[in-house]
Amino acid sequence: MVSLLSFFFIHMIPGDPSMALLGPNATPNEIGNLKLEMGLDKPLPLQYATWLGKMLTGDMGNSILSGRPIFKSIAQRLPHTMVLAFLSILFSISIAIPIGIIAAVKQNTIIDRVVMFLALVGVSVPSFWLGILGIILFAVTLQWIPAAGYVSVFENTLIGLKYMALPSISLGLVLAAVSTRMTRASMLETLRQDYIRTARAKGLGKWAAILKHGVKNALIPVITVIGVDFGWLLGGTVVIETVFGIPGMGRFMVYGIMNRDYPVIQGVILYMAIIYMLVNLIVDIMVIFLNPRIKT
Amino acid sequence: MSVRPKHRFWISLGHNKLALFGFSILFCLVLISLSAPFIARFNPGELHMLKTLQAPDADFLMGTDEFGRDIFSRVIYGTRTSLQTSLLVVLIAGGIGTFLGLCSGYFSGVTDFIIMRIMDGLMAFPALLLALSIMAAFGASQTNLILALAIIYIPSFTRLTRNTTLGIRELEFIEASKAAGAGSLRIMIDHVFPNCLSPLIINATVILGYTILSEAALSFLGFGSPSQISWGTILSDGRDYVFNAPWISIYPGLAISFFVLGTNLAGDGLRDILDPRMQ
Repeated sequence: MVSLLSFFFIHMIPGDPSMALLGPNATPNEIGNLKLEMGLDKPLPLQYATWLGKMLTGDMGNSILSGRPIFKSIAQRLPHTMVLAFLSILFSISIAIPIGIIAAVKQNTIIDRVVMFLALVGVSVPSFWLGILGIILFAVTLQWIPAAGYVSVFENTLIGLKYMALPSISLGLVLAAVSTRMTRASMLETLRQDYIRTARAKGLGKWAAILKHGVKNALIPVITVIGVDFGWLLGGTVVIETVFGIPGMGRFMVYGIMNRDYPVIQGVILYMAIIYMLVNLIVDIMVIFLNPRIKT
Repeated sequence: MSVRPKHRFWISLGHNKLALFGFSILFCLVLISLSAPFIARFNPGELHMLKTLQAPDADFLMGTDEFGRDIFSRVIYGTRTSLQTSLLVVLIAGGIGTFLGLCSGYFSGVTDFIIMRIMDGLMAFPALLLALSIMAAFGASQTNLILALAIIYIPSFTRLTRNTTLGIRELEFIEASKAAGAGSLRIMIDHVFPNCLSPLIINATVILGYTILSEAALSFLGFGSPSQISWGTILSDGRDYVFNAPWISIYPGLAISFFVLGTNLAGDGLRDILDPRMQ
């Protein structure tokens, strides 16, 4: 389904890659030959069948513009995007879960109100704008981090992390805002359950009851939401990668769209969709693990 | 819910300070967009070639860009485009989504199956990537931007309406109007739809904000129409000047954040007021 959509969508792009490749001075004959070579003259369903067949064997074709195999380019770029996504999620849960729990336990106090308002502000701010503000503040004004350039974490872990900090924090903050709201709501629900009262009645301290019995149950919906938000995160990485010049999947896709490089766009979309589904599968498995009552 | 006296809505709203704040933000933005020519100091396209990349001062409240255009005037006029875009997206997505949801929930069976599988297909893609692919397929223009955004927000309306409809369909008054000889379309519009309104209004308010965020992201990536002044395109203009003219990027982002904060506060407030389960 996803493969079909990504294939046909892309072929509706007006303009022809063979023209883009040969330039405006190409003769119709040259264009015809190139089309023949790339299989662009065949009917669309046939092109789709050939493409899907190759895709299943891991051959995603070559970029029309650079001629490089797409599989290779994606394999090169995917780790950057994954590191960014992973760090963002790590950052977001490490602040969202404790803060969400505290807000729930202190419901209707000033702490709760302030946290909830900040969380609402967080979901209202474009993540890439946060990134730009970060550059202005930390790179231009304070000069704590280098203003431009990019070093991969795979080349030099420490320096690489320094370059990754701002992008993953700006994505992570927005995610954190969503997850904090979710954690609080879910925690409030859990705190009203009978088993918390039982735990308290048998003499367990307030925080012991919350941490031992409350948190695990409250986290189930939070994990589900993080899975859903992963889709948002993948979209967010496209923009953040552009802001920070990270050579990941998102920039590859923007490059593909700008140059009408069909195979590149198809490859990236397919990969992103597969990753999205995989993440949601993992999330479903984690939820079953956390809550044995759920059986599929 | 439809029998609830109207004044109770206003009283609840009056007690909910945050919601009131949210609605005030939205109201102010509507006022600004309507009176843009009176507030803006310059024509948003006017070039001041001697004053390019100027820091904010008394003349140019938010500074100027690389062509010497006044950022303040552009942000003010951008309010128009941004409000227009988000309203259109919500109207289109809401209209189509609600209709499909009504059909899906009311007829169920094959209709439901087909509609919901299409929605699942749309939701299998991360939203922004889907919008990007649609823009890639149809080309960059304001109309296509609106269509792309509308398509990605249809499923949320469809699912919401469908779920509410499924609950209402079995109620006695629906059976009564069937017995009275009312047709399907009539029942859907006259009886089912009004009962779906509250959750739909809440959803629409929140989607209004999401639309602006997505629009900004797409415009920032260069998929907006360059001739339209929206908050997103101003941000995109400022991209290359973050180091020497940060004001180009700061103010439109602030405007976006305010607008989305307004819709979120209003949405939360409406949920508290209209949805008794949450109280």
